[in-house]
Amino acid sequence: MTFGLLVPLGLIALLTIPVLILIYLLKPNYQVKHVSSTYVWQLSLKYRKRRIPINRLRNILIFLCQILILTAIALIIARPAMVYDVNNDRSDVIAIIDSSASMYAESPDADTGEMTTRFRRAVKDVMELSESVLSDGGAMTVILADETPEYLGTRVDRRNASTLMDSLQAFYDDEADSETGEDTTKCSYGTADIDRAVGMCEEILAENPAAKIYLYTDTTYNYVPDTIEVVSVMGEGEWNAAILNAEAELDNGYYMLTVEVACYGGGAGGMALTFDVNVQVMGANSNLTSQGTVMNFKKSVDCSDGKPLTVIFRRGGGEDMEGFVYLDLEDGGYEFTSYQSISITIDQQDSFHDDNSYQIYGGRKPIVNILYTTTYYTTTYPNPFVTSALDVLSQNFSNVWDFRIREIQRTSVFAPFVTEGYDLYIFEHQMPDRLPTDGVVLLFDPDKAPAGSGFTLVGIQTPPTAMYLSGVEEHPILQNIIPGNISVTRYSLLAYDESYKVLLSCDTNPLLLVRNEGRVKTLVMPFSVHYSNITVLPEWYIFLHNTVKFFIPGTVEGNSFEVGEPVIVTPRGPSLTILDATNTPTISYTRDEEALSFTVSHTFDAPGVYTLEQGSYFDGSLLDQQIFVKIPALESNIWREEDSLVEPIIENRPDNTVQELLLWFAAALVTLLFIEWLLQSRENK
Amino acid sequence: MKVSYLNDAFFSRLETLALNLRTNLSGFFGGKHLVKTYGQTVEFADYREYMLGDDIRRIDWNLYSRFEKYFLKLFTDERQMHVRIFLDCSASMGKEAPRKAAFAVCFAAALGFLAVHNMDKVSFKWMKGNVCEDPFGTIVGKNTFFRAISAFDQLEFEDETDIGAAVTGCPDTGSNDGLSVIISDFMSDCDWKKAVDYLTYKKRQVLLIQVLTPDEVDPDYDGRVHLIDAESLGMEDTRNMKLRVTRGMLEAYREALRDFREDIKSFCNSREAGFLSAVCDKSVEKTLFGDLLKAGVMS
Repeated sequence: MTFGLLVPLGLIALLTIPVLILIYLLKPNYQVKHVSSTYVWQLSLKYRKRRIPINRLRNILIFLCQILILTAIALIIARPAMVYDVNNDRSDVIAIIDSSASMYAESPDADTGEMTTRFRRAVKDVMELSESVLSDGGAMTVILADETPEYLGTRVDRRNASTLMDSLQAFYDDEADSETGEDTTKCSYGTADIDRAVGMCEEILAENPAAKIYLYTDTTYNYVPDTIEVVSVMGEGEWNAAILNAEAELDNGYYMLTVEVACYGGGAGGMALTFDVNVQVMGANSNLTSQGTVMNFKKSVDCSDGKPLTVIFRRGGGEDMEGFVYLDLEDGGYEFTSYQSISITIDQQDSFHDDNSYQIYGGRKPIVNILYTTTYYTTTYPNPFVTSALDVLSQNFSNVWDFRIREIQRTSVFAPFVTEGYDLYIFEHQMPDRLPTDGVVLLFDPDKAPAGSGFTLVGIQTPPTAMYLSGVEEHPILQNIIPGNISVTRYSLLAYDESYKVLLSCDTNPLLLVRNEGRVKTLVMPFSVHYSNITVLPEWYIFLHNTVKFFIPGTVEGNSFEVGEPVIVTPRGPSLTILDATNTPTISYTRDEEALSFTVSHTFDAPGVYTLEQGSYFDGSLLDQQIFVKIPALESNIWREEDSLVEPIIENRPDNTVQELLLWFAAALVTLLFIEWLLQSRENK
Repeated sequence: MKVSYLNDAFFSRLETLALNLRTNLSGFFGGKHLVKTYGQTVEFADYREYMLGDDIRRIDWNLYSRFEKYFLKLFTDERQMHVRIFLDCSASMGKEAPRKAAFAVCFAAALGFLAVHNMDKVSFKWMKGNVCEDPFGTIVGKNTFFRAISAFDQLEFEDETDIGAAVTGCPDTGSNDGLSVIISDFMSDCDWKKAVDYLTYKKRQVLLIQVLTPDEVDPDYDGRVHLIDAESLGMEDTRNMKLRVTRGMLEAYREALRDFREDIKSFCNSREAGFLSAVCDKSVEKTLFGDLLKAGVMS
């Protein structure tokens, strides 16, 4: 579709524009008028002066309007039109190749007998179609439909077909690129956005509504629009036994393993639907002194075609029912209270292999050591407000961290302080001589300023009545905290350096300060919990929760993800490297020096085990955490059926290939004439 | 082209009018204007108690019979005034607008006639440049007046006039003895207010007559216009203007003229001077019998 002029000679009328300019240049001179006096005219200029800039702009607009009017007239004479590139002799064919994970299902080729994937079969068909179309002088468009469909070639004809054909050949041969070494296989392990791919066809249909669309897929559609022809690339006898999902959770102190399996196409191919679900637990029942053992157990299941079955391995077992089968781990002595990793496999030679294994990690949570040091004269030991909040924190973060809490009550002012080896230090009233050099340090009601703390105590403030706090600066630590709820009756006055940020204050005096120096994060609350209502408010627990969440973030939430799903990773240190199953780094991220938090959103494009390697703030060591990435459960169903296929919108156009635009230009001309008249009438006012 | 309104018919129509001058003027003996001072006319003014030295013939004996006290009967006095007419003879008054000049001259003559008709003296002062010319001297009586106005046709309007300098420099402006009339269009940067202040200081009754042409009141031209000022010294004179006359511009002109007139009027009010703005397409009689009568200058 291009813009054209049916009578290009009409553009000669554009010569009137220089004539218009000439008229402006040769406009008649000023008419001489003899008057008795110009005195009042001089006075009138003062009254008129403020309107002069508008007048100049109006004159320019009038001139522009006149030029546009002449241009519009010239274009109207030249008869503008949209010319559609429709060649009835040339056929336009669009091929959409479904490149979802299920297209990896393979079966013996009917001709050669070698194992061939559906994707390869589709590519082969498209290559044959392309050769046929191109040899007939037609144009070929190929769209590769994965999560983000893309064109392999758009309206390619015989002259420029080589690139398209080379790409298709590379897909078919499944060869690595000779120069870069990258795998050229373009079949993804995710899902395919067929609707969007069909939408992309509308661009071609706008050019040629007679274009034919072929969809090469393994999905069966109950309704297919007339404009699309679906070509099934499923092979004979293909079937798939799959692990759809698995998870391990604590049940009465022992882990319970839930595995969801399914079998697709088994009945149709005449293959057995009974198979074993094998489980291997690494590092079972490990503790501080033992690395644990390796346990192997399995459960034979009988799968109905297409119906998911949940296999539950637990201590004590359960009664089998429809859709659920149990294995009592106690029978074989397989109960376990901890693990390093769990590997689940189905040992079957089915058509689709990528969902036959599953890994579960997270049996050993990273340990967070917390030290709470309280003063020796505290009347109640330990301070129940702090200890109870830490207990709740420990439970709430149990899926992310393994909290190890140690409480110390100082019996003497001379007793030494512990200032190293912990991730979170809480000091109440009595302060150490020096600040710890790593971790998060929370200083409650300091009686003195530790060396390196960056603040000094300058006095005690005792307001006559309870004073309420006010927020000074927004900060993640203050999320969901209402400062106006917190009151104090006595607090210490501080002098602090610029490294601190004041988050809460009372009567302009700071009552919550925070400092982030990378390895050490310091929070100072210069008031005692005995002189404040904070400990009886929800704000108390929220504050501790926010502190842990902000300064000790969990790396990832969960340990198994799907291909194509964005995974939010919050590294504990300044860097993050993602390694694949062969321990080869795939990508690295580095924290911005100025940033307070460091969050990465990463999308994995292939299933398998990945290692998140991150530097630690506290001791600089590298921490490893493994996650498992699986193909989407939907893709395991290699005999999937969908209700309907989206219908592309074909623009209705007149039969002829030229659409005149006279009406539009005439409307523009009338509009311009009206604007010019309006400006002229304003000009003479 | 010379235009003249001065003829016998015109003057005969004026005989019914008289100048209405203020009564606090002193004037000269022998006129017809009643003044506040007591004199020997037949018009009663007031009573006053007899004092030693008074003429006993003026004692009102009727009052003595009633009150047994001596009262004198007082009568008003009549004085002769000296009307001085200052006429702006700059080019703006007549070079490009003969009717404007004719109107101004006619107006001056009419006021002069009214003066001599009421037994007052009159002087015509032609303001040219910074000086006042007085070609006829003090005119008393109609014969002298008509002789003088026969030379009015030879009056030339040219160059510029500084009204302030001309009036203040005039050796014969008089003091507390009558009316001073300044006839001009006042369309110049000269300080005419100085002239009014000077005449007020000399206790003269002052009347300002502004004469404008219809074109000056409501310009009827538009488009691109090069306005040449009648007093300009050449085409490059800064008083000449190149304008694109639009409706908005004309509106601004009218607004400026209105404010200009209001400025003169408010100044005259503050100095107890009279002001009249006349358009020369109106007949002089209409202006005299209409506007001046309304203003109270005539009676």
